[in-house]
This record gives sequence, C-alpha cells and structure tokens, in this order.
Amino acid sequence: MGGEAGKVDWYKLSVELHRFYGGKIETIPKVPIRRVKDFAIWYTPGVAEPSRRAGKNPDESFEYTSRWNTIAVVSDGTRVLGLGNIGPEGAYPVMEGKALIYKFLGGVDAVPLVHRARDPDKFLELLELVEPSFGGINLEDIESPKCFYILEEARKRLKIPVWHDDQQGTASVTLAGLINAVKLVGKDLRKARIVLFGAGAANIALYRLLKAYGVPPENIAVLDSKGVLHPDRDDIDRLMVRHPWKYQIAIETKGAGLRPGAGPEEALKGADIVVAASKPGPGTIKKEWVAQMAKGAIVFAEANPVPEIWPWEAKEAGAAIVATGRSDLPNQVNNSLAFPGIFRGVLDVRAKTITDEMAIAAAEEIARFAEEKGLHEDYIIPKMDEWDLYPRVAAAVAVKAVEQGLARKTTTYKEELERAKSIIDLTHKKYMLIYREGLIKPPPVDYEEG
Amino acid sequence: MHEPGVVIREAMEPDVEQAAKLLVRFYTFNEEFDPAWSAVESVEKAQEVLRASLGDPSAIVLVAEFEGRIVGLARALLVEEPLLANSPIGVLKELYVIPEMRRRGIATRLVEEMGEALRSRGAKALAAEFPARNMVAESFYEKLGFRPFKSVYIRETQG
Repeated sequence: MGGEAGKVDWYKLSVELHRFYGGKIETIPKVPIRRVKDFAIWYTPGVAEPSRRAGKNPDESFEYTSRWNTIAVVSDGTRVLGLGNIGPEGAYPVMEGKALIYKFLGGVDAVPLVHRARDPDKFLELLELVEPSFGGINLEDIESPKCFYILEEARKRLKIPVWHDDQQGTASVTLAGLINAVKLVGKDLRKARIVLFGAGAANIALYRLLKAYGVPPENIAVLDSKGVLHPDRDDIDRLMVRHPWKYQIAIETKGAGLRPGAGPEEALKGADIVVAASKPGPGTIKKEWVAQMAKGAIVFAEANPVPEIWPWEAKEAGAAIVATGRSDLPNQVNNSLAFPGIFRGVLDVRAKTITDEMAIAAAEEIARFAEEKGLHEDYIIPKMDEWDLYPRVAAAVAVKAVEQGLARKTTTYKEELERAKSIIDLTHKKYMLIYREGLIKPPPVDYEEG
Repeated sequence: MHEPGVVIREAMEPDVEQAAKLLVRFYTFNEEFDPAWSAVESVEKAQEVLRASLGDPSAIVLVAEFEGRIVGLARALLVEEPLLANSPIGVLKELYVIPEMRRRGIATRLVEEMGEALRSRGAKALAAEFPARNMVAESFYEKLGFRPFKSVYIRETQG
C-alpha cells in the first residue's frame, strides 16, 4: 500500500527526501569559535584539564561534556516497525527519525546506535561498554521476549536511565488515554474489567504499569494468540521456561476469572476496556465482540497501519470511546507525547533510572493536560502539535525522580518547567534560524498541505 | 515458608484421577528441555502407573492437598543397587506443583517428606531425575543439598 494514506505516496516521497538530504541529523558546534586560537580552549592544550578531572571523577563528565544531554537510540533491528527482523542497517532510518523527534520535541541530543549484537547478553555488554558516552539509553525495535530481558537487566546494570519505548512509551501514553477515557464514561480504572488483546512488548508493559497504578491483577485479562494467559493453560510450564513474563501474568491475574482456553470473544463479554496491540486489522477485533462489552465500552485499537477494528465499526457496535495509533484519526496513542519530555526531565535531574512511578507521573501529566483543554470523546489525549505539553511532562517526571530519591540533582516542578521550556525553545529558535536562512534547502518534492 | 492449609500425605485411590493430570504435566513440562522426555500424554496411562505404584511396596506417592484439590505430586521408587554401598537408593521419578501454588515451599516439603518416607523404608540416599538442561530443577535440588550424581546420555536408535 503506497504509503497507505491514499492521497500521498509517503514511501516514495520519503525515499527521495532521505536521499536528497542524506539522512536527517548532524552535529553542530554550540560554543563560540571566533578564531583558530579558540581551539586551544575546546581542544589541546586546554581540553586536557577537563579530561583530567573527568578521568579522576567520572561524574564530572556530565559537567564538562555533552553527556548530560545526550542519549543513544539503540537497536539490533530485530523487530523494526511492522517490518520484522530487517537488521541494523534497516533500523537506522527509524533510529535517526527517533533522534530527530528527541531533539525537536525534547531538546535532547540523540545518537542512533545500531549494532550486530543479537545475543541478548552481548547486547547488554555493548550497553555497559558504551555507557560512559551517554546520559541515557533509548532501546528501540527489539524483538519480544528478548526485549524484556534486555530492559530488565540493563536497568539493573547501568547507572543511567534506560527506556524501551516500545514497552514503556506506548504503555505510558495508553495509560494517559485510559485515565481520561474512564473519566468520560464515569468509571473507575481501578475497578474496571480490562482486556489486553495481544501480549507483546506494549501490552506486557501496560499490564505492569496498570498494576503499579493500582489496578488489581485479577481485573486484567491478557490474551495472546492462544487465548487468555491462565495458570491452567496447557502450555503454562512451557511459558515458565520460554516466556517468564507471560507466565507471571498468568499466575498473577489467574486468568481474570475466565476459563483456561477462553478466547477474545469470551474475554470481551462484559468488559469495560479493551486495549489491542496485536495484528493489523480490519477485523482482528470483531464488531460482535465489542457489542457484547459493558455499557460505555472503551476500545483502544493500536495496531498500525490498520487498527484491529475501525473506529466507526467499534462505535456502531456500541463503543463509547475509541483510540488508535493513527495520526489521521482522533485520539492517537502516540509515543512522541511521552518520550521527549520524559528524557528531558530525567536528564535535567540526572536521574539514575526511570521507574514505573515516573512513567505513571508522565501519563498523569499527559492526561491532565488534555483534561484542562476539555475532554470529549474525540479528545482524550493531547495532539503532537500542542507544544506546551513536552516541558510539562519533563517537569512531572523530574519531580517524581527527586521524590523517589533517584535524582542526582534536586528541582521543583516550576523550576524544571522553566528549564525544559528554555532548552526546547532554544532548539526551535536555532533550528528555525537555520531553516529560514535557507541553510536547509526546501524539499525538492513535497506533499500538499491540509 | 509453610503455606497454611497445604497438607502433604500419601496418595490414595481417590486421588488418582487428579494426580494423574499432574503426572502428565511433569512430562510435558520437561519435554521443553529435550524431546526424549516427550510423554505419551495419556491420562489413562498415568492413572495406571499411579495405581500400580499405590500397590507397590517399593514405590511411594505423595500428594499436596489444598482446599480439597491436589496441587502437588511426588513419586519415588526404592531402587536396589547391589554393588553400591548406599543401596537401596530412593529415586524421585516425578515432582510437580501446579503453577498457581508455586513459590510457597510446597515442592520443598514434598521432597523433604519423601526423603523421610524413603529413609524409614531403608533408603540410604535420595536421588532425583530431571532433564539435563532443566536449570530450574538443578538450582532447586542444589538448594536442598543435592549434588550431581550420575549422567545419563541418550541418542535415538539408528536405522
């Protein structure tokens, strides 16, 4: 499907423009270089002293280098978008795109780091080896269940924040959407019957986040392609060995009161919420199933490019609120609402990690932002061009890190809000100046606006 | 940790139906580590084996019962090794606890009580059989003071 939207061939346009610009990001100096003599400050001999100090006290590397604001966007290319295992070179354009968004929305310098370490322990070793270069790590597009192990271990071994956006990013924004959706239908998220359809990175992370948010595990039915995760499922022991994350969910939720072997049709009967992060639709979730859900049903169909069920179909079947992963439909569950602000916040307080509580703080801030603007069924999540959101997410996360004793620097909400705003504003100003000066050429081929 | 309400006792005829399911699960679980462990997957066959063991003085079957339900099973045989000083040896053939009741010390109790029962029948040592690559079982038994004792290698017969 040529870029899929119909009117514009995004694939063709994207290839031409990627080639024309030769990628999307570059490094630009941020210090004054007035004359050659200045290099004696930035390079030899002067640089020897910052080097000596950082060598003696590694923490000072955050003072003298860009490390404080630089993260790596790391992928082995084993599960890129919906394209599957296309390798590190295949992952590169996506990682560079992520880096672009980090910079533009969060003022965070992000470096693509694609590599050949497919073995999870080798992957972890690589992260440990390059840790001194970065203030944080964004993991991306790694196959499941390997990604769970890598994230868990990396969080333990590294002293800088590690984030896997396909898990935590999607889960955080979904939680934000759910917080507002239940408000609109007058329900309590902690009492709702929730079905997570699909047991990949996003929904397994969402399960953990919901639990941390206070939803009792027995209220959550998690389904994979074989049905509900249940302690009496035939392959339960196999899961214990091969997929301990699914196993743990089966044990904790006890299958949410369903019988072992129950499928989506049974699970959705009477459910208040379904979050699908599974196979592209349409028809992955059937209208008849949604029709059996409780009154005021909430349907999140997050598969791309085609949601598990089209919003109008879900609505016809009685759903009160529908969200998808698409930017051309209302209520887009978009990771970009969370990750730039989250890293802005943790970098600014030099947090040691990103906890579930910090992810929840981000989700609550995103939800609050939309609520302040006025919730309605087609607006439960902010849109990407609501620029005031990102510094607010940064502030909420930074304050939570300080509260939890995980920040090396202290701050207040107001202080971080101002700092994040000024860093992000400066990025925009610099960029717009370069662009307006014509130093970034206008695109030779383009789409029509609107 | 002792889970209150879990009773470990010798299996009796009325337990056979439920216990047989756990016996089958022990094998389907271990199949995960080596196809040579794949079982016939017949509950009837498992029932037969259990009934035979109930009537066999050189076999012991213990069950863990919780709220009227069989949640764990251990079966051991007393094996004569005429040339070993430690003979007879009690060999734990199967040990299984259902997933939702794990991490509560039930398997440990099954092993300890089995050790007691075998000792009272003259066993000088207790051995346990499980697939070579089952690290979960390995670390479980090592924690209980077991050590690697003998290796059994296998290959399918040719032609």
